[in-house]
Amino acid sequence: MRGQTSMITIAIAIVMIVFIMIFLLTSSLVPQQSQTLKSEYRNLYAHNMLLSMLRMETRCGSISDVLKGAYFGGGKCDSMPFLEARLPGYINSVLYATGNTEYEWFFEATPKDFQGSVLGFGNPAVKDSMEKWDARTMITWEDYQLDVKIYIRTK
Amino acid sequence: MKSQADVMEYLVLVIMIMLIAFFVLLLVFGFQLFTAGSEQAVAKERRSLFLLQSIISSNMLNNPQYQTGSVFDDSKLTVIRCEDIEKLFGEDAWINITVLKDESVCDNVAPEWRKRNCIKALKEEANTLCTTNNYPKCNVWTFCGENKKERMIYRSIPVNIHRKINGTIELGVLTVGVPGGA
Repeated sequence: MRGQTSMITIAIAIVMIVFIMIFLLTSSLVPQQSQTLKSEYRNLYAHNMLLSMLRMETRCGSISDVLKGAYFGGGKCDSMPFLEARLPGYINSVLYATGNTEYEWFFEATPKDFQGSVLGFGNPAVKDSMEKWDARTMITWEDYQLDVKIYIRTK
Repeated sequence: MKSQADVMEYLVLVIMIMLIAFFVLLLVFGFQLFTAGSEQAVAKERRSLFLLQSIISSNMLNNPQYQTGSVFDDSKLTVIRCEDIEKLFGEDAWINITVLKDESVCDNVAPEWRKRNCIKALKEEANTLCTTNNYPKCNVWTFCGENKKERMIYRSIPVNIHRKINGTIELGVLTVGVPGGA
């Protein structure tokens, strides 16, 4: 009788442990799915932020043209002062309009196959942050390529 | 004496089994409630993301010159109706596209009073809902406004809007809302 009782107790204990394990396993899967969706959204956001900025037309032409002007001169206006004065405002206005004011960013343009300094706007600490996400594109003019990136993280 | 002990042992066993059964039931129901709620929230999040991705790559709204999408034609936005949107992207969704006005267009306006008027005019034009009557002097398109409810999950991303009248590309924001927010 005593042996039977112990057997049943052990069996019940095993069933309980299995239930708890299933519970813990599945409850950890749901936040994982949510995390994947969050990261998908952030990638889409960063990608669209970068492309929308570069395409956007201002009184000095598109931002992409203004960047070209910053390296090679020409263009409708003095490119560097324009970028310094306006680019952060454009990016911040998008962050505000999308309700993502908790984001901070760093915009960087690096010449790929020509001499020129790296242009950076925003908070440089974002680039070295572990918790950042980014988007990247290449702007091509004739034989020249400019590597443009945006890094975003939450404050 | 021995049989009394056996009965006691049985009693203890029955109570233990009942307790464990109760605990397991509690666990199962709790688990059901927890996963149902979480999965519903994840499904809503997934739907809003899917909507964003579908809208930015839809030929019905985008300018065909931009293969990568996310450049909406203002003329297409002005004529499209909620019924078309519902056929394309499903019911219950609320969609808003807003052009962010670029104040730099007033940078070179002089004297100062004219510059102020330029910025004032831009601000007045901001948040003007586009209809076939006021197009192109407007900068907001909203579809299926009647679907907008208090409890919605909203997602926004930056986009561009192609202004057909002067051929320029402006900066804007696409927002979608799907019912089911907390």
